[in-house]
This record gives sequence, structure tokens and C-alpha cells, in this order.
Amino acid sequence: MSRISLNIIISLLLGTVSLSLIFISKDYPGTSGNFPITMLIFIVLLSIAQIAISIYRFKTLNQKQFEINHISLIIFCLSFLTVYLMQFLNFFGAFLIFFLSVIYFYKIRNLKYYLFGTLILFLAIFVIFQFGLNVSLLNREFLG
Amino acid sequence: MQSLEVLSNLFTYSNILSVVFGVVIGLLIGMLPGLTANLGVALLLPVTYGLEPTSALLLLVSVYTSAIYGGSFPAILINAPGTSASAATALDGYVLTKQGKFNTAIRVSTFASVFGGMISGFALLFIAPPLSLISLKFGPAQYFMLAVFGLTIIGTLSSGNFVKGLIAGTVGLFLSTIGSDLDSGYPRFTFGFSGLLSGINFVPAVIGLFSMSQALILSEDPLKTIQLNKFKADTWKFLPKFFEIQKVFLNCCVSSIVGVLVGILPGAGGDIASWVSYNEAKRFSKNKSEFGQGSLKGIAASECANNAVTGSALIPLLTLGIPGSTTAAILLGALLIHGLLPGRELFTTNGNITYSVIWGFIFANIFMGFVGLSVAKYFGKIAKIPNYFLAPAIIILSVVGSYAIGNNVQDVYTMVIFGLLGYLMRKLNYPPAPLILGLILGPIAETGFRQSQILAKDSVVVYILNNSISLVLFVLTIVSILSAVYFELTKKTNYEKDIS
Repeated sequence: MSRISLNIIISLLLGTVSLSLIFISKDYPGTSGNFPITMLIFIVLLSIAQIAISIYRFKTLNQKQFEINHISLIIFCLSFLTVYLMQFLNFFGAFLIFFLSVIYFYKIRNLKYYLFGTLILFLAIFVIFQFGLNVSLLNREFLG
Repeated sequence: MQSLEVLSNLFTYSNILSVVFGVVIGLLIGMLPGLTANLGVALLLPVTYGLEPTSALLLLVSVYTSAIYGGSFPAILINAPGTSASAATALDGYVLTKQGKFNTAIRVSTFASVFGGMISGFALLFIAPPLSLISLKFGPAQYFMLAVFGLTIIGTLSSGNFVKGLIAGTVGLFLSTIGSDLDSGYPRFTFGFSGLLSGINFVPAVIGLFSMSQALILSEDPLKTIQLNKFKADTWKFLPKFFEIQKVFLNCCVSSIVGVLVGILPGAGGDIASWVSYNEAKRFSKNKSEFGQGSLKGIAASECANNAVTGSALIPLLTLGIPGSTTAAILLGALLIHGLLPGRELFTTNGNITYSVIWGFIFANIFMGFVGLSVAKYFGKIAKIPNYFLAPAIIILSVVGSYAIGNNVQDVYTMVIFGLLGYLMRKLNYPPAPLILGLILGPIAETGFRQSQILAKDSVVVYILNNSISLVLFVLTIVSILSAVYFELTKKTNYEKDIS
């Protein structure tokens, strides 16, 4: 998809979501809806301006395809999954899986890195947070 | 007497450790191409929760100033500026490296950075206290107009994408309204999620937008390594020479003034200062042709100006609550976390903390020079840290950091979601800084507006503009918007950059 087309789609999406939120906030009691409604109206107007700019530039400028790197998305999904797993496997369990999966997706096949990288990283984090900041990585959600 | 109090408050074990740690971490972050001062300050924000306000702020300002200085190392040695503020340094610095004169370039950049940083520290010390007197005259109407003016900074923080910057800022303002209404207690936009009742905590949002998103960007090219064979560590010469200092001294004086003035302007950061200063140095030079060919004056102008911004960007922040740069916007959050409100109180009731931080900032700049020159010869090893190690390390630190804020997983989810949002925003050229500014200034703007509504007898607009400070702020707001629109219209190239 071209960058300009994506700009238009995102602006349309933002405008539509903002309009629907305006209808929701109309029912808020007293003055509690005034400020958000004003902001939402601004978002709608700015989205229209962005669409106009994109259409205006569409004719004069060359387009370039918009691409999102798939590894970055995989890393994001892994991060999300890790935060979820953290509640069951504790911090170290969840992040061991995270770290090993990440370097696998990075196509690192060096065993030395798997071993020493994991050890150094975990030791550093444990020392900084456990002793430096008094954040117990062995408690609550981190315990599982 | 007060000076003695400040000094005794400053030279405590924890404060000294904060400066040392902040300088070292800031230098490492600045030296690594791809990591920025914003990332460093955002990542260390939760670390400051357990610290005293003085130590916490010292840690963050030390990271800020030394990260900007650290950016000069990759700019000079490998032609890859560590931060955008060091882009102008690369023009002459890398030429000198190719000529084998990297020693000279690093020594001059160190002297200029320390000089600029110290001048900005003194500017902060002498300009901020009298300026803060203005804040005494502020009521709800003035605070509302101040927040509106602060938001027009969006135009300058948006690097050319004015409309996208405004959209991001307005979305930030809207997001700040999520949660229980402070007046009525009515839940706004929570959609039944009890976790949203207390609103969006901006610290995990900052960590997500600046740190997690950067880790996702680094993940795009995990195997990227830097080739370094231009210099050898054993040829390193440590201290700056007298003739080098003499050659650039006048240049440093002018550039630090430029940097201080640019830094005071809300939204104008180190990159603008370094380019303005570089161009001015070139314009007034007798030998213009040396610029771009390895000019020491060029390096000094750029480095002195970008470090002169670090202190002066804190002037509008500490006095009026308007951040002078993106990093200053994150620092505004740090102030609020530690219960410190920008304004006159910072220089009276909390004067001990504020003056200690300012003096600590000046000492941090001196210390930064020594550490910088000491670790310079290890730059090769530092810069070789691969992305496949940095990215997961940043993600893990971001997760633990956001958990440490309130010991709850919801903050971690907020951070991860804002991380993806920040990544997509960067890919689509939506600047993330205005969104954070909106999140921070939103409650101030809304409170000011609603209090004005209550106090206004007739029209709220008339009430807000019926005083000289609000009128001045209104005029400044209009000027700020018009100048941003002017730059948007005259700099079509920015949009071309967007789609190419």
C-alpha cells in the first residue's frame, strides 16, 4: 500500500472513531464532556485537513510503498505474550522464553551468545532492580 | 548561608552517585547510533521512583546532557550521529577522522560540549529565578492559555509535519481525559475497564513511545554492526591542547549564546541550535571554505550549541511548565512524579532541591568531559554492541521499568501498547513527542478551562482573555501557529521526505 493512501485511510479511521466518541460523550453529565468533545472535534477537523493535504500531494509527488518489518511485529507479539506469561511463569521464566525466541527470530545461531547473553542480561537486571531499586523480581506477578 | 545549604544538599553520597551513573549511562546511550537522549531519560524515569527528588532529577539531567555530548563520538568517528543534535558535527568531524586527526576532533568537541553545557547551566541559574516571578500572577485563565501555548509547540516538535503533529498532540489531549472525571467522578471513555478509571499513566506511555518503539526499530536490522578500522585505541591523546582551545574559544562563546537563546524558545531543540550555530560560525568566518573540510570551528559551533540547549531548555520548563525540548517534556513528567510543580515555588519552598539540581547539572557537565575523554578510546567496543543484543535488552528494561512504577502489570500492558503505537507513528511520520506533551498538558488545560467557566460571569472567552498575561500568551500562540504553518508551506521537502 502506498504511503499516501495509508495516510488517507488512517485519517478516515481517526475521524470516524472521533465522531463516534463525540456521540458517546454527549451524554456525560455536567461539564465533564466539554473538553473531550472539543478535542474530538479538533481531531475530526485535522483528519479532514490531513486527507486534503494527502489528496493535494497525491498528484504531484511520487509514491512509495509503506512497509512494516515483520520481525518488529513478531517481537511486539512476543513482548505482549511475555507480559501475559509473566503472570504464570514468573519474570525469569517468561523472559528466558522471550530472549531465546527473540534471538532465534534474529537468526543468531551462536550458542555462546545464547548462554552468555542470557546470563549477563538476567544478572544485570536482577542486580539493578533487586538491589538498586528494591523492586522484587521474585514477588507478585513476577513470581507467577 | 543558602549557598552552603545547597552545597551540603548537593554533595551527598546518593547525589554524587546519581551524577556519576547518569553521566556514564548518558554517554553510552549517546555513543550508540540509534539510541537517543529521549530513550535514556524515558528508560530511567521509573528508576527515579525510589530516589530523593534531588538525586532523581540529577540522574535525569546528567543523562540528558551527556547523551547529547556522547552523540558527537559516532558523528566524528564513523559519520553516524548518535543523536540528531550532532548531525552538523559529522560534517567536519568525520573529515578529520579520515585525515587521522580524530584525537583533535574529539578533544575540541569535548571542550565545546563542556563549555556550552556550563554556560547553559549558569543561564539556568541566573535567568530562571527572576522569570519564575511571572508565574505568581497566574490564575486559571492564564494556566489555560499557557497550556494552549505549550501545545502550539507541537508545530516545532513535529519536524515539518505540522498537521500530523497537531493530530498527535490533540490525540494526547484526548487520551488525558480517559478515566474518572475529577469534578463529577463520572467514568469517561473507560468502556467498563476498571483499570482505566485512574486514567492513562503517562510514565509507561513515555517508556513505550520512546524506548519500546526504538527497540522495535532496532529489530528491523538486528545483524547491523559498525565497522571501525579508522583509529587505534593506543594512539589516543587525552587532554585538549592550549592552541586548540584558543582557536575555538570565541566561537564557543558565540555558539553557547545561540544555544541558550534557541533552548529558551519552547520546542526548539539541540538539532536546530547546532545547525543555526554552525551556519552563523560559517557566515562570520574569514575562511568559509574550511567548513566541511575538517574545521575545528565547525565542530565547536555545533557541539557547543547543542549542549548549551540542555540547560536553557529547562528555563521555560522550571519557571512556567513549558518544555523547551522533547527531553524536557519527559523531565516535566519527572518533576510531577516527585511532587514538584513548575513555578515560583520551585525557587522558594523547594529552592534547596532546585538549586542543588542546577549546580549538580553544572558539575555534571565538567565530569562528563573527563569521563568522555577517558572512555573515548573504548568507543570502538561500545559502538560494536549489536542491535540483536540492544533491542531485547531495551524491551526487558522497559517491561521491568514500567512494572516498577506501581507494581502492577497493567502499566506494562500500557507500555507495550504505546510501544506499538510509537513504532507505527514513526513509520507513518507522526511525531510521538506531541502525544506525550498532550498527555501531560491535558489535565492543566482542562482544569484551567473548567475553573474559568465557573469564575466567568459572562463569556468564558472574554474571561480568559481579559488580562495582559493571557493576551500576550494568546498573541504568542497565534505567532507560534502561523510560524509553524509558514515553515510547513515553505519546506515542501519535508513532505517529500515523508513519502520517499
